[in-house]
Amino acid sequence: MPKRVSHVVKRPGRLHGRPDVDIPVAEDLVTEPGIPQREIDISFYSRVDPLESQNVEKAADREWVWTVYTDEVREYREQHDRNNKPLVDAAAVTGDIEPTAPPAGRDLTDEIRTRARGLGFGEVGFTRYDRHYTYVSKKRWAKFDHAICLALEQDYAQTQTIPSLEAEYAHFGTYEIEGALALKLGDYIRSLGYYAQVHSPNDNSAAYIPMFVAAGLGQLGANGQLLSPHFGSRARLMIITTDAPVTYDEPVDYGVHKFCQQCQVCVNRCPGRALVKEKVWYRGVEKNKLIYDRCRPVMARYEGCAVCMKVCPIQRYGMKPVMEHYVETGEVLGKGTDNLEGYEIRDKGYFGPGQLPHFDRQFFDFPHGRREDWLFTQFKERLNREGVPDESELVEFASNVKRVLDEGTTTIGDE
Amino acid sequence: MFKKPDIDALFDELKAKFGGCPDYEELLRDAHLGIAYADVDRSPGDEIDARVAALIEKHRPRDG
Repeated sequence: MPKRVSHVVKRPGRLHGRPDVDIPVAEDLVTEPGIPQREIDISFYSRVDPLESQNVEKAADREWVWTVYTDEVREYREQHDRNNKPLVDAAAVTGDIEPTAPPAGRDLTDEIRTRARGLGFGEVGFTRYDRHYTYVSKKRWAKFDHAICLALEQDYAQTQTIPSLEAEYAHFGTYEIEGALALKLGDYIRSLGYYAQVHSPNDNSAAYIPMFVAAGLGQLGANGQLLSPHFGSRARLMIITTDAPVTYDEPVDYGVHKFCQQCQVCVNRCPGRALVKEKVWYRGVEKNKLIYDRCRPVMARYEGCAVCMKVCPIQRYGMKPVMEHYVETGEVLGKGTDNLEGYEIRDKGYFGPGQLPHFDRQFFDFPHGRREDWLFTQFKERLNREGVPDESELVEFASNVKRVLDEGTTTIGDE
Repeated sequence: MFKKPDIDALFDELKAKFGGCPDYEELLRDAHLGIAYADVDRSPGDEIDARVAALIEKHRPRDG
């Protein structure tokens, strides 16, 4: 059934220099610009239970994934980490680099946006660097009040082969390109007379999606990813913070908040059943909250999985044709079709619409929390099972905990 | 509706014919969108490259 159009969102073309696109938003998809949220709750949780990097809080499973990778994935990840380390290290110190010219003394929004688009960033937006979302371990590192939100599109063809090693080339390869481009953009901002701190996409300072939403670059999808107009979630996100004078963008209602409730393809197709149909209020935001423990084992064993990215119609076709089709028919383009919903899982075969792979319960057992947390969890289980161990084993346990504590944690890493 | 064998055959032919073209990725995007339109019996109009539209028509399942 055709829908009435509430409003039309105009966005720049997918590539720099291409014409703008108009995205119609149906009346029945309208909620509010950005995402429904309660500022008082966001503020409360950021104070009593501040966010921490997955690289720190989930260090036990981040170590574990290396034990279940295929040889090919492990080899590629090691190569990527070697390639990427100089970029991550370079970004880490950018906040201290002095500007290379006197301050330009004018609003630089358009100049920075144009340069960023010219470098290849598909989506560029400006907003306040929202410290509600800053990770504990980065609170003293992060500088400057303004966030430049930057999304770099990931290769289209490779992404459609998800889950696969080829898709992982696109995923990690995009980080390598993005890290280098952001360093160039940082140099440019300094040449205009201002500081630029590059927040590496592989050493994140905060949860970035809320800032991208605030900057109008998309809305949060049911798959837990930013759905931007041209590539849905097929992009890698990062930010640069700066003291340069810029004008903030406004959040936009693309209709995604309600569209995802109509679509549900990612929810229905998730191999690990990790995505949840209904939205919940979580830390002050209304969202479809992913169940990490159902997602992680599939991601780890099957080349990053990302089926939720692949089957999103906005990723596959772009937001404009999807929303136009919804306005014309009230239906979700591609939903229920093999071309959108089908995927292959290594050693398990092809799964078309309505079909999901089966994993046994043990498949979902994996280490939780920080590495020291996991040692204590195992120790408690052993106490319950076997009673108090002898002194030498107690000393060995304490030594292991001390070793892990001494080694500390790193905020560096990516998935 | 396009089933997996139809889809595989279409993309195999697309790659064989146009895999070396500079605009191959755009053709690939068009092919996905064109299949989605074909699956709902919607005319692709001029949104889809004519080379891709012809391939979609060729591989379109005829069993309704």
